[in-house]
Amino acid sequence: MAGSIQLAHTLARPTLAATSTPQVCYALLEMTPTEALAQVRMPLNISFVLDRSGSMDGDKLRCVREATSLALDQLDAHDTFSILTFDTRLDVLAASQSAANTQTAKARIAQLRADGGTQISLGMGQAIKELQHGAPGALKRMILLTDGQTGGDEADCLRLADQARRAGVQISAFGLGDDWNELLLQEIADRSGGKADYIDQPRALIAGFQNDVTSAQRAVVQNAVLNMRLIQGVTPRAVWQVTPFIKNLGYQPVSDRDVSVPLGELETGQGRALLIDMLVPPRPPGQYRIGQVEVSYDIPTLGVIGEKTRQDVLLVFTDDPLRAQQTDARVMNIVEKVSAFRLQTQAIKDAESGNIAGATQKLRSAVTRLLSQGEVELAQTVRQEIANLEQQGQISQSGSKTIKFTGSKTVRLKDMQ
Amino acid sequence: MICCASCGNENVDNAAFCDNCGMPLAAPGTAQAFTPVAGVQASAASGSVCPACGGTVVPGEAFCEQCGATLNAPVPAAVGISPQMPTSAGKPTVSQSAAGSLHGLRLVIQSDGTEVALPNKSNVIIGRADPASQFFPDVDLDRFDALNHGVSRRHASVQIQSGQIVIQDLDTANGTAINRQPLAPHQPEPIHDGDELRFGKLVATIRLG
Repeated sequence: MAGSIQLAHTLARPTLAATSTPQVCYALLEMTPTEALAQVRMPLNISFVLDRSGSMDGDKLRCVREATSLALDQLDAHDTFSILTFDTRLDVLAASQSAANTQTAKARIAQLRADGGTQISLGMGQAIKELQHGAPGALKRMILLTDGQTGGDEADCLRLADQARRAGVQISAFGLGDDWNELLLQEIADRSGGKADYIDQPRALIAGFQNDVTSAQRAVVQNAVLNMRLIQGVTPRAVWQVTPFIKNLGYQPVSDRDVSVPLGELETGQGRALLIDMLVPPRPPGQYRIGQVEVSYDIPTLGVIGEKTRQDVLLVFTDDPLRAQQTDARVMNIVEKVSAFRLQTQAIKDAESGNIAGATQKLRSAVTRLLSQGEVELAQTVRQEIANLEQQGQISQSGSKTIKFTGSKTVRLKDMQ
Repeated sequence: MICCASCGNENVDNAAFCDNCGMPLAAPGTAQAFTPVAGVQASAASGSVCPACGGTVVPGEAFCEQCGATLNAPVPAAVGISPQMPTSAGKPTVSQSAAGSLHGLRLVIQSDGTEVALPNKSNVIIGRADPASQFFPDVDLDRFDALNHGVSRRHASVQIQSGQIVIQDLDTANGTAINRQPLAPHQPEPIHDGDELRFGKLVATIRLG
């Protein structure tokens, strides 16, 4: 099924000044599975790994029950699921089974009670075992939820995250409230190729689980890789993912002028957008090809393996100063959002290393950028953290989580249109 | 094979650009020696120093990597509407406006009573100018501290539909409201003389006459 991915690029400045110095060039790269793929749905093999420690009592556990039941409603007979709960003990609430009938599992979920401490690795280890069952070709996903610090088994969790990756299991790690270890959950998610998210209010879990299941069902395109073949002198400085959330993807040099960026899954209806920040060498006026972008991918459900789509990136150099000032407002808006996110995450690192002045200054700049984007609530959180830094020399737990996770979701659908 | 006149690289037949240096191959004569030229300076960040923090910046960078300051050169001819802009002598009415122009309508900013006239157009974008992305709305609320009031760059549009003056929110982060009733994004709602409009937290009254 050739041409299953639409590839488009837009330059922030389609025309650069013909100067004597290298210049920065931003390119927005959008990869969208075509409409024809919208009806294709991935069969899932999903394991819910739920914290039922004492701190989950009350509203948190009520919402976990509701969120899990509603997520089960999204599955059908093609899917497989399992549900594991943990405190310092493990309970297999539902062993791996077909989602054709979820009534028994839901009845057991309804009886879930909170007690005990937290040992995340117990749930993760069993989930990997449960996920070995299920239909071949199904997408394996672990939904991990915790509200607290795990009891000394961090190294086991990371080892299991590596094991999950080898077994083709992506982990979606949800941290509920302010007391969980964001570095650990982020690392678990990253090592498995999944993602971590911050759930500030228990009710938000319902949408969190549902969106994750939907996103897995739409992950029709697998093993996507971006390859950039750049001409001599063009140097990539950074490759940022901007949707579904902002993340520095980094890149791997393949040869002198080729770089590769693993993208993993692409979802129908959403796709993926990247911002490529490159340094281009000076050129006399004229049009040049500065490189070629190519996305390779598989669509396992359709038997498509190693399909490729590619595009030339052309750039015009001019000696007309007015023409060189033209910018694409949509791309510049995204450049600004990435810049704000980068400032915030660098500020957190500065604060963690004791550079309070640097952190404060970056957060102040971030406030300006956020207000410029209409992100008033997030700007307010950042302002509060500036006050915390000045008074207590540190960023609060909730502030750090809001900045890292909410701050990464400022590129919205309307920004891409 | 096509040999690049600039760098000598041998390219496959039909190649439009050199794989090595990016020079055009298809149009003989356009390819020039790949040597830096002293042309105009980069339009953005023409120096190599951030004007805000003094850090080193690369030409073309949109924001300073150190301090986040905007590095784009401001663009002339911002189209902010002056409160002193002459207004129509006659009282504008919906029927007059239905002829196609919103000329004569005014926004009265609550905080200081400034009157901002809508321009002589049939579709007016209200928002906040942003030189970094070179966006300038028809009605720029920037000088009313729009940034801190949560006004988006493209916040709302006012236009005429079926003889009525309508406003719609342009899917903003902080919303638009008529008489404190929030609008759904992209759903035009009629406005009347004296209605209170909220763009984020910025409050104004619409005057049709």
